Amino acid sequence: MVMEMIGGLLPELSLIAGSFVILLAMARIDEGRWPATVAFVSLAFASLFTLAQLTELPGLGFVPQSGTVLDVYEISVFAALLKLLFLVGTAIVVLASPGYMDRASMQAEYYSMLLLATIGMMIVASSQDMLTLFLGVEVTSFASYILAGSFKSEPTSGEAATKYFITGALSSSLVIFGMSLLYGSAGTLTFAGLAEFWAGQVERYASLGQPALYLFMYEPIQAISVFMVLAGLGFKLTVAPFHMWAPDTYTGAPDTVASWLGGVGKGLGIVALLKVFLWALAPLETGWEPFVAGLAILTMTWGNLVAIRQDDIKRMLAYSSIAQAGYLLIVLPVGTSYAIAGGVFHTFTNLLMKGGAFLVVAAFAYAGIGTKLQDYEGLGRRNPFLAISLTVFLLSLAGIPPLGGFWSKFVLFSSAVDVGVGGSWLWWLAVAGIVNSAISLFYYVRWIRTMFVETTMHPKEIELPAGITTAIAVCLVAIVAVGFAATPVIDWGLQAGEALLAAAP
Amino acid sequence: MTVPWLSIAIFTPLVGAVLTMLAGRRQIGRVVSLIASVVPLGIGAGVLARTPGIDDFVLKESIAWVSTDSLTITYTMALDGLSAPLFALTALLVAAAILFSWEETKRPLSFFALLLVLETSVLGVFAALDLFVFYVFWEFVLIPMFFLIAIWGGAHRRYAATKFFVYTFLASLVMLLGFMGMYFGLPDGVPATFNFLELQQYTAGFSVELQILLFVALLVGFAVKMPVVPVHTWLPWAHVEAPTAGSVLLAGVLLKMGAYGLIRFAIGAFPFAAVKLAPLLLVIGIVSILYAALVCLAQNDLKRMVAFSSISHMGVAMLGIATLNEIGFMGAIYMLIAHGLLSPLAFMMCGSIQHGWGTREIDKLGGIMQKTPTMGTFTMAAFIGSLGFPGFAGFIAEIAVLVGTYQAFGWIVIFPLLGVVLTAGYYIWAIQRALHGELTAEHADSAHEMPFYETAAVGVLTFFAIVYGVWPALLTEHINPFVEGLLSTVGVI
Repeated sequence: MVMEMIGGLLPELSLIAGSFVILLAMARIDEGRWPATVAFVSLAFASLFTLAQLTELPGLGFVPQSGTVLDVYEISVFAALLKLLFLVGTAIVVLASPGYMDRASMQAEYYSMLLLATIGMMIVASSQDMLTLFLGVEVTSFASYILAGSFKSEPTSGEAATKYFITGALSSSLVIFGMSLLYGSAGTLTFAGLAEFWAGQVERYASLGQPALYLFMYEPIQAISVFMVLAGLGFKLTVAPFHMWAPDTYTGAPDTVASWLGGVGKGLGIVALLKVFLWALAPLETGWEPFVAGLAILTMTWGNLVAIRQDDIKRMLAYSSIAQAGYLLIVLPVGTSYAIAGGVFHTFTNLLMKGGAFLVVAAFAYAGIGTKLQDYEGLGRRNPFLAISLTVFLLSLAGIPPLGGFWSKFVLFSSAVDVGVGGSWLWWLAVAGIVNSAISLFYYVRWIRTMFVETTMHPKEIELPAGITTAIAVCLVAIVAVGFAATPVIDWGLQAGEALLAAAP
Repeated sequence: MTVPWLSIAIFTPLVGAVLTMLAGRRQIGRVVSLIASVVPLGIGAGVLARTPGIDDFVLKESIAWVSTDSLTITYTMALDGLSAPLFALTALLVAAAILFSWEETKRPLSFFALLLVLETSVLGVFAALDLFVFYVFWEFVLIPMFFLIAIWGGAHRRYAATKFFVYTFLASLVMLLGFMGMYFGLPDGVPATFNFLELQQYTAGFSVELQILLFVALLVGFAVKMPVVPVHTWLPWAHVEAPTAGSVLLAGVLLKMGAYGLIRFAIGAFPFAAVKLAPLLLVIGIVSILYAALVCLAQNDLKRMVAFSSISHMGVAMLGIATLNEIGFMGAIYMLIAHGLLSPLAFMMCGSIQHGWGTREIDKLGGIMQKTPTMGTFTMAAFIGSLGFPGFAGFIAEIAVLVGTYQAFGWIVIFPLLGVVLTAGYYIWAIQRALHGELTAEHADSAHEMPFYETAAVGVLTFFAIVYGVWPALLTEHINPFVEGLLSTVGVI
């Protein structure tokens, strides 16, 4: 029993161990790159154990592939697959950090907090009840507030952390308030229990001959609870109109942290929403579907329209990240295993392309290049590798085939068409998605053009630390390769989707 | 194990592009790129050399690319009577474009490499029979073309390149929605597939509304690419601002992708919707012919005039498609090849005149024939060929479309006939003002003849434009079996 429990928690335990080793050793050793190494090794172990939860690995038979720990923590394909994505994404950020983060005054804490933030996301992926989910969300949030303020001496970094903290605290209180109302109505906080409760409610209304949507009218407490949770988790995913913190935080935070927040961190919100809405609130789908679908369209449109006006690459990427949240939100109303596969896939490609794009910004910043549009003139000449990488990431974000971003968007949009052909109005989500993709191409192209077309004033070469170059190269190769070998990713995504849907009634 | 000739033809230019970039020097790079572009040309010519005509898919290849429970994509490539001539045309034009740009001085290696990348993607478009693979190639075409315009283009290149990219991207995405609809609209129990040859068997069984909806979605994507009025506004910018080699490929092959897609996929999948919407296609075709011809009359820039004349010619192709009869279709497809030879020729001559005389403004030119006779002669050939003069390929196409229009719509043929007159008008007027007349140009003294590599490139195109003008059977023996096959499905409805 205990052994099984430990076996199931091995990925999380590896990260906790790594995080604590860094924190404890920090007081004694304060020089060199060892925190990054410790973080990387613990991430590698965690990834190995998570992989063992996905498929049989020789010698790791003691890692269970399904089951629950203490009835609150599930081990499933869905959880394991997402954990693996988070771990890989964090490992890329850790790889890129030495060098760039040298000017931070507290490097050991930085790596320790990165690990903690990842642990929180893993907890969310495995949660089986609202309280565990909330705990995970909070662990990640608190760690990322600190991460955003890593450059203590720089006012923008402090501003980023403060804004993030205040809006984050607000959103957390919304979630916990919504949860308390849920508990008051349903008497339970487990997803399974909540699902049962809502199924009963919907049935009751059906027996009265009324659509489930009326429930929101007659029982406002229950309506408020649902919307509070949606708004609170929407903050975390940067869903419009709860997105205001993102541009300031992404801009002010260190670039590697922005890379983590915009790449890996995006997974927090979507996984939490998937768990709550496609499991706990699944029976109520007809009730929340129009609202969530509307938010998806609003978010992608708002993010893309505002991104057009940005002359700062980090703000542009931040708004484009809001747009990505809108695309991800398509998963909820569509709700098929194919859509979830698309969501998982897009979480994956997003952490490669969005994370990668921010890493390129970090690399340029390391070389002393600013973040304004005119600073990017002629960079195609000064460092072709970085410029081509950024071009590929931006084209992938826009959804140009055969890059990874095209595939994940394709699966997302086509899942909406799939239910649309069956008669649902949700195919409008696909229409909104493609119109938005075209809008987004417009502003991505501006940056690409600036890098390659304008002539440069400084024909100086750019030198980079090996770590960040490797990390960008990994993202680049992965985003291209996934376009040619999408089968396994979609397959795993489908398995994850079926696992999640199987849990729901 | 059979040799995958088609994949070799498609991907050799891509390999050539990498080698060109690695070549380091222009003198080596341009030879490498020319060799890489000759390989698909040889394979394409080999297919066309078959007698008697291609009546089925040849060089077929099919392997599974993505196979999951929810998504099945196969890499299915083949050529038939519709795609083989376009395939060979693409290869010919890229080789000619490389030859024409032989002395390119601005970042020449990237330039040649991008032309080759473009070739790979366009060849892929014409060969792909899986809708997903088709879309991947189709969309990828935009990237090399965007850079060709944005880096080597004229004064307004930034605006032109962005407009081209975003405009056609949006249209293609609408088309992609149509493809998704075809995929997910398949009846239950049928294995889901993007393979067009399999899809085609079920698409005609869709509900009428869905058929028309999907046909319109595809039409949006293809009509923008062709382009036809009113979705043509990206074209003048892109064509005028692009470097000559870029305009050559834009006019020569990129526009053909639209008409090709319309014939192969939209009409092939939804013949019933095509019959229903034929009046719409007819109106689009006639408006394009007349509107673009009128705009041409008002142009002072030779290149802009040639660019707008493309819209007019694509209107003729659209008209031929709208007839839905054998001769009209044959004419439409013939127009793709004819325009694919003559329009690049005209663009090359605009480029040559720009090099030789320092301007393309008609009112600043004059006496080209007198001072630079070779340039004048080829320009003359390009222009009279484009206006549909007998002896050039354009004539065969236009006469076939007009006959088809008369058969299908009767007296309405007056409108395209008026277009023919207008076309003759603006071309002959341009010939009169620019080629003949007094030596009035500012730089007339310093004007010089075309260099040998430009002459070689335009010579090849002129040669083929005349060959296909006097010996149409060379093409029709391939086109006709395809048209018969396609119309038999329309006739069934």
